[in-house]
Amino acid sequence: MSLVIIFNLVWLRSAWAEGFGTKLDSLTELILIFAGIVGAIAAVALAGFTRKNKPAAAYQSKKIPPVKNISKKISPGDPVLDIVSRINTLSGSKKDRKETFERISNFLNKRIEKEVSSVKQDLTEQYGKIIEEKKLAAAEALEKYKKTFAEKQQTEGVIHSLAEGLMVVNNKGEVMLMNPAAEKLLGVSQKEKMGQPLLDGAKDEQLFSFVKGGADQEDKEIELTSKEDTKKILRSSSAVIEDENGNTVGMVSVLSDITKQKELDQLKSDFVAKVSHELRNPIGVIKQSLSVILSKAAGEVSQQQERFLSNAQRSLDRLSLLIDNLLDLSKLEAKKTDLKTEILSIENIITEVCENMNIWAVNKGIKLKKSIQPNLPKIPIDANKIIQVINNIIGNALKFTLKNGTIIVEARLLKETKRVEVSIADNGPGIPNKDLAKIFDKFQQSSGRSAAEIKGTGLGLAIAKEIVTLHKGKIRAENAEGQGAKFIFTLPLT
Amino acid sequence: MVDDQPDFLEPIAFWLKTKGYKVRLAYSGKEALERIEEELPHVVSLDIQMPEMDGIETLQHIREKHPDLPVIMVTGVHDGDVFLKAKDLKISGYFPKQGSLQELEKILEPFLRSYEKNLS
Repeated sequence: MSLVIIFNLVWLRSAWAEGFGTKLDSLTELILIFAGIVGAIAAVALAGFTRKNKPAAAYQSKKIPPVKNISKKISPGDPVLDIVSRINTLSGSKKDRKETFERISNFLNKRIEKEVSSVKQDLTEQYGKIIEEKKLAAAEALEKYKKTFAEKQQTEGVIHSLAEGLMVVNNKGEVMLMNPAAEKLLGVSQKEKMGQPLLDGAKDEQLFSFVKGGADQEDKEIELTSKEDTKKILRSSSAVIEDENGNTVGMVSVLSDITKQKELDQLKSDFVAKVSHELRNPIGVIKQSLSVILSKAAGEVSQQQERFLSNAQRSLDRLSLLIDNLLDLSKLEAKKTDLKTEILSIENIITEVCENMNIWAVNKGIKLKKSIQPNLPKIPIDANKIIQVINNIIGNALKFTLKNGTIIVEARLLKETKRVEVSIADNGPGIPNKDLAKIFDKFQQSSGRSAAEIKGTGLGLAIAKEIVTLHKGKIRAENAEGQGAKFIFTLPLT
Repeated sequence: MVDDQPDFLEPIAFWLKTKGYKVRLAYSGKEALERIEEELPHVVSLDIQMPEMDGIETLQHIREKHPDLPVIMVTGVHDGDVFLKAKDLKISGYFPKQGSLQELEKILEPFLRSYEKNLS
């Protein structure tokens, strides 16, 4: 204990000297010695108190790490200095005070270490957790990136190897994407055109027609003349690209070279025209020869001969009609038919057709009724062609409607769609649902009817569809409620 | 009657003769022009599609000398453009090859009747 006091005294003296730069006088030293003794006594008392309150084993085991001499690291003005000086003022021996000091220091050190280690552990755990999360997120992102990249490569591969040209332009008409097929078809390169307006530097006026009005989703045919002066016909199918707010942000177009197809179409229609002509001539010869024989101008004909010749003449009429229809259809399909449209009353046309067809209806014992909405507006139509449509549909209905049946022709205005709708309904056997979709195909006749009943060419409805389509109208067939078939076509008001 | 197909002309000519008409046949445009010069008919039926000189060209030659001679165009296939050309060259009628004999007689009759009237 006395050693502690001496130690304290020495330390205090040196601390004083360091702090104030002066030496202590003998009186002050005496006071200090006195204070040291009081401190020592206090320290002994404190030591006794501490021994009572701390487990003796922990103290005796000396497991407490040796205290570091904090005092040496204390700078003047540090609040620790105050604590140290307070300890020094305690009673007890110097040894007790030192021990007290060491125990407080060790206790603090341990607490600090414990706190530090706990904080460190917390931090390590948190850091580890964050690292783990980040690693997971990074792995997921990498996986997503790989997947997206693979998908991108796949999509690019598909776009790249498409035989059809694919082009994307933004709403300013600048090229965003162009695959090799599109480059080849349009005779431009993506490098030149990327981010540039498609028309920049383009001499072809046709290219303009490609972009112009491109938002209409309709198929367009574009004729291009290449550098080698060869003509190319492209079909472009375009669709508008919209963002999530429905604003137009661009347009995607698929281009296909239909030059060969067009040439083949031309060949086909030339062939059909030629064949039809070549077929018609001999038919004319047979027909006129049969007519002369049947007129008995060339001599008497027996009843049996007359019957056979009449059969031959009827078949010939059918063959002749088939050829006429084939020729009509081939012209319509080749878009070679020009409509001679006039603003006409559909009511007058229906009335005219009904009057003509009524002779046939009366012969078959069928009622042909018409119901036309009053004051229907006049519409642009090619009268002969629309007559052909109504004729073909009523003719069809007459063929399949039994005696005492009824055929109703209706016409009304569809205000919302600005169209006139004409419908022809019969109460015949109707059309099996499986045949409804293909009823307008060539040579398609409803399977519900036996071949013997059918005397048509199988082209009447196909022709009707082509004519209605040429008028920018629509045609459909449905089974009327109850019984019978209903054919409906619409024509635009303008 | 002018047509490159004798098979077509013969039965019709036979039938018209039995009806009392005088019929002369020509099998090409060139031959037709010669026949017309030999004896001017009251009406000509002229096939449009013929090899070498077709019906339109033949009609142009006819019109040079006979601007008012009635000509009926006969065709196997109705071709709008050709028909319009023929119309410009003033034709008096049109008969499809698959038409009936009665139809043909109906077309020819007025010209022949006016001739008969002129005779009386």
